[in-house]
Amino acid sequence: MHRLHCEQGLVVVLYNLIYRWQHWRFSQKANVTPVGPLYQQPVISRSQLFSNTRFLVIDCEMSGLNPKKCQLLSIGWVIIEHGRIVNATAKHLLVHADRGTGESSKIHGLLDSNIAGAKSVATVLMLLMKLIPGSVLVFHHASLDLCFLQKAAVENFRCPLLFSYVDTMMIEKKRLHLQGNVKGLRLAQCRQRYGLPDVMQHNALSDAVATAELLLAQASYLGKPENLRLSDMLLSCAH
Amino acid sequence: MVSERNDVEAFLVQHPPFNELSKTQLEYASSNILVAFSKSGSELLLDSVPGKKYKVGMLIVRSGSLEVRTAQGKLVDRLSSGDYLLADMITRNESDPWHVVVLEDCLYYELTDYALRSLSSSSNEIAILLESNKTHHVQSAATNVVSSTEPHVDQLVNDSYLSQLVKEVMSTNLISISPNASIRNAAGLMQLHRISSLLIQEDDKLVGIVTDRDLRSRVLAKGVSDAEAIKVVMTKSPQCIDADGRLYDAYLKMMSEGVHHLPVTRNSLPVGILTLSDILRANNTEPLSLISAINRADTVNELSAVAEKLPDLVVKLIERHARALEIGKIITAFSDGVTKRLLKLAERKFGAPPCDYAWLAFGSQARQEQVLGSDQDNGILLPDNIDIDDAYFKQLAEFVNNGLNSCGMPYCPGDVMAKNDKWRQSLNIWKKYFVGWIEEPSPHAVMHSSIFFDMRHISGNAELTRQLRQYVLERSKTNTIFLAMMCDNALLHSPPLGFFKTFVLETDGDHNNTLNLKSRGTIPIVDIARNYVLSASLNPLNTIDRLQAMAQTGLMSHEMAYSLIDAHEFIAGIRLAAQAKQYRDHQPVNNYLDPEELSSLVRHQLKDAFNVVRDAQAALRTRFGGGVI
Repeated sequence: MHRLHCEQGLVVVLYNLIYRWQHWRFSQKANVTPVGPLYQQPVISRSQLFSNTRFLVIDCEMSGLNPKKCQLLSIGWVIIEHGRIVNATAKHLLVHADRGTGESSKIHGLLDSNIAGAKSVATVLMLLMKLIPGSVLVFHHASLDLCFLQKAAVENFRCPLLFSYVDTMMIEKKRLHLQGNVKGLRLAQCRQRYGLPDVMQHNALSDAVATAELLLAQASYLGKPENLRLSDMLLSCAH
Repeated sequence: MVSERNDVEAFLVQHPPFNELSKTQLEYASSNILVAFSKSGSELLLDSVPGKKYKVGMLIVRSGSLEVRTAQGKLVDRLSSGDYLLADMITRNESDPWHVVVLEDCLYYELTDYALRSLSSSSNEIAILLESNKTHHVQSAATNVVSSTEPHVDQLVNDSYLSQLVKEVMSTNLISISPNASIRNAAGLMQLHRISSLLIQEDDKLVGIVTDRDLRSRVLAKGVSDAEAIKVVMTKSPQCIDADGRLYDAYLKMMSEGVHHLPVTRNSLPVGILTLSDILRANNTEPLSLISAINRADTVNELSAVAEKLPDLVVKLIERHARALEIGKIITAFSDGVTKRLLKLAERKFGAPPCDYAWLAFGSQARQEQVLGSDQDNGILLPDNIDIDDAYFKQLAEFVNNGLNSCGMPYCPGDVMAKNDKWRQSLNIWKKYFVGWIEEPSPHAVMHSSIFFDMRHISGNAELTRQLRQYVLERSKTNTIFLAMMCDNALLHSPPLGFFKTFVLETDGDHNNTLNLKSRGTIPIVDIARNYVLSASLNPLNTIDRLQAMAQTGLMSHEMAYSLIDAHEFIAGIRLAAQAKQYRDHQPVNNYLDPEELSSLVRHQLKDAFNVVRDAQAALRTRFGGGVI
């Protein structure tokens, strides 16, 4: 019990430390870029209630797994407010690519020709950044999406994004770990455990919605909606 | 922005009432949907989510399941994927709000109240849904759902016979003559083959056609000699129709060309001929031809050979979406015909009857509501005060009962047949039977006697039947205990609550794999109608006719009577369709339905129909039941 408490304390300190560190490193630079507003936001408190939090659930499709060689193809997002996915906020944006889409297009069905009407990475990031202040971002397997988003931000604005996020994969991993289970952590596998339906199609938006539904399911199992806090959901800070 | 369809929209479009919405309406609904999740065991509170700025209008289950109960814990409904719930239904009764509990982890959509109301102003289906909930439960929903499809069904019936292929209807008895043959030879050939038109062929090629009318108008009226070559008066290069064409193409061609005969060709070679009367005959006149075949049969074997053709015809009618009411009447008309013919054959065999008698039909035959394989219920009514030669009537009854059995109307399992001595009696004894049932009713007796209260004259002296019916109607009308017993009996069969996943949901929360569409669907309506008409001495026998009479005389509210008529037609239609499928698949034909085979729309409509029946049963109980020990 005591050890658990220490760990909890450590996580709190770490979360705040990382935020301050990121803030200290980039806020000067950021102030003269479009990323600036993100650095002027107060840090989101770990004790904030789940039901009072606005979540921005994001999924990115890339041309491959290597951020050095590959790039963002599309991004989909949807907002959760008061524990409800607001379907009207669902957005699906295609990213204009310089290089051919390559192998990954076979999976996502995004062809070069489809991307012709797409927006530039900078435009997409600008639209996304408008929604970030006051929101907690949500990803499934955040590290991959973060790599691509931050790289794109640095390339375009010479400064990474600053935000808090939760990772449905990590929530699931911890839950399974507590149960002493090791099971698949892919999105579809996680969803199955909560009896969520099969997703009808695979694209950035569908997967973002699928992740949002997974988060709601996880939240209902983590605690009562009236006292579930962000700290229960492994709130982290992007870096 | 990518333009593919949102997953929420893709789900909604598959389920009623959203499947009726236009693309714009659907997009609007989808953009006003909020998605939520609740784990099993939790209670859904539709109106008190903290911080929520909207009111929920409708809840749609995406996955998992919910259960709705009254405050007293009575099961109202269970919902699974694709089912919906109106928030108004839950909160409508302030003193007794319903509870919604999650049975299995549930992902559900909330459509905002504002959006639901906006949709109701542009969508009929949604408006009906809200209106029916506000006024009288789901009653008028069923009325409207079913009756709104009616014109469509009628259209199908009318159109469907015209959508048959020409080759299925045409006459293949191809008679032709050379163009150089004389008019007299041509007329002789037509006379010989009893045909009204003759094809003129030269080296297998069709060069013309001549019809009865041509012979009249182009030969006789013009004074042309009958020795002339037929080519002089024939219609050259007549309009033809392809064998694979549809009847309506042929019909349109006949109308536009003003002709009654079309040669049918395949690869430009004549293969048959189609006449206007062929087309008219294709329009459901087969029952008539079958009935005339009955009257030509001289033995039971010949009769049963004719009867073998009935199932095919009935299945065809069902598949052409003929109304259940009409199909019941057609099958019954056939049964009546067979019965009358058998009586005639029996009289031929055993000699003329020694005295007057009446042959009575009971139950579904009396109500003209038979289906394929309905069993026979009949009896003989004999005059009073006559020394009766019962041996004669016993022979006659056995002959007819056995004959009916070999013509596809199996023996009555309860032995309600004229060959049973008990049901071959004089008017006085029959009256005594009815008095016994009416004056000293017992639940058991009422259950077994209810079919006798549906009684129809088939053959013999109709005056006998009229007297008995008159007597029964007068006696039963005033007897409230009897009517209450009949009411209790009618309430023995109640419809299920609805469907849950692939099961039938019972009022006690049980699940069944199959649904008996007769005992749980049509019989309760039949029983309700019988109770009302007996209480008011109304004459009609057919359930639909009874309900209409009940509405006209104010015995039942117009709205409820017509809701029941629609519900009956809908349930009976589904029962017939299921039976037609069983027949086609060479399965034994029964009344059972596997709910898995129902589309989501039909499940909703059936559920609405069941609700109508339940409401009517409640009204029946209020009117006739109660106060009986």
